[in-house]
Amino acid sequence: MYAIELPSDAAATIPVERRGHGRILFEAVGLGERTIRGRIEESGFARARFPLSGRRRRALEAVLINTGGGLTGGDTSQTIIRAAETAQLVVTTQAAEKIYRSDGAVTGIMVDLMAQAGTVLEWMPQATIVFDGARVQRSIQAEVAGDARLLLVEPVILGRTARGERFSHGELVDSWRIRRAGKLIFADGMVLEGDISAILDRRACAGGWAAFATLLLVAPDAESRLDAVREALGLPDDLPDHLDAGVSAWDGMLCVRLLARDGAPLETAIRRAITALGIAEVPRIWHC
Amino acid sequence: MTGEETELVGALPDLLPLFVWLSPAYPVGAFAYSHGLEWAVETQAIVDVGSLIAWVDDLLHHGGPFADAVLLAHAYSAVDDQDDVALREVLELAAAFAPSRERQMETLNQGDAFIAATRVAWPSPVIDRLPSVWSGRVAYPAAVGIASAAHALPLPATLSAYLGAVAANLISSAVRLVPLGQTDGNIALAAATKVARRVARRAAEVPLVRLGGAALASDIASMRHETQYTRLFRS
Repeated sequence: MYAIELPSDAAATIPVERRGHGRILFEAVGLGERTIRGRIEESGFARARFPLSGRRRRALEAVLINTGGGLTGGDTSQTIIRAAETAQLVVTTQAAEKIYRSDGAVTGIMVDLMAQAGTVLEWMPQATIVFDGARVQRSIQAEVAGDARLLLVEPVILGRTARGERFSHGELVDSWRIRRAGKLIFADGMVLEGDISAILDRRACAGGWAAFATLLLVAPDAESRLDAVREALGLPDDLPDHLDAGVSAWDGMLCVRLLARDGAPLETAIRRAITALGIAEVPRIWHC
Repeated sequence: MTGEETELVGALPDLLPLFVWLSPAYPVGAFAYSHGLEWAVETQAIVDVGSLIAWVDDLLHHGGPFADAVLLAHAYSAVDDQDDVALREVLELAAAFAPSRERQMETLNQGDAFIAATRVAWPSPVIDRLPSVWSGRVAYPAAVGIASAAHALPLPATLSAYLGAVAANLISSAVRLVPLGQTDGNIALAAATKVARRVARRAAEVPLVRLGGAALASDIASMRHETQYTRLFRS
């Protein structure tokens, strides 16, 4: 039996030893009126660059690059970031991260963030695009000092919606654990498996829409920004088309949940929410 | 009669505490919370018995109630294994596992009330020494799991009864909000009972690293409920 191998079938034929493992660890340290790079370790496909165009005031902007151009089944990506000694650090990614169809092996993504006393850490990667058939398990954990500020923005797009693809089979497990001063303050989990199209079609789930994002701000004054973010998103009753959104604030946190038909209304809403916080800017590389 | 029903009938005397703890009369104030359903009625996601059955089914399979059942099972097992480290981990996770202010309030208020009522009326050394294991507030499903294990009740029946009670509370709120007739409410209850039994079996198998669901619209509903103009419910 013969079959012509199409490029899109490549994931099924990559031998285990050629699967990618990327790991990046870096520290940012505050120094006077600036933030500078501390220790950096890069391995596999993971690289970090610090473009001068991303510098604003005291903040250092780091742009993470996946030189492998995406992740497939069996690949692992580990990102460890520490903001120390009054550092102000913004971390984003060069492009949307694509998770390709898997032959069964799971793609593992691990993000480990630490914002030490007196620091600001903003984790704002571009969207993760989950191809149909992908199997991905992602874990995001963060430790925030009591007086530090942490902002997390994580957009996810299920399927290549521009070509009409849906994420209909595969697996997505997303687990968030956020600690402040050692105490767990926010935990969240998303699990999609089985007949995923049917699950997403459910009214209480995604109503057939394909893009979602969570934005979480942990800061002593996080709750004071609730009204501004609601207003910027059009809440309570002036939301744009193809978007549902909710904002809540409690216990020194502000959480935004966005659900959108596809990536375009999602990105518009994310930009508005970030800007409305009044303390963060959309990373410049998002404009490229 | 199926094997599962035989097992339930055989264990019937042991289930009586569950009837009490998970009845609407137990003083946890369940009637005050709608888990964001009040917003779903406002936006006409729920308009009749069919859409109510679908919404409750979504939540039992993929929403807060499913994750709560997983947390209940882990709290039960930690007590059953006398593993204080595991119990502390579940209690910490259960208290933080909420997407909005009202959802956290809903689970912590009911959990604390359940522990307070049960400690006095259904005393157990496990509940008495709980403060030495965990000094924070107790989420509702964890509280039920702890009490059930402390009184040696079966886990499968506890999970079914818990999910059934949560579904009944959602349906009761919808009957008042939509509004629906009592017959429609009973039809929805019968449908949810079947689902609860099936989902209970699945929830018992889920490890904590896979805790979660997919009910994004329900999460958003709980957030938007905070600014809903006319509200009968606290969540």
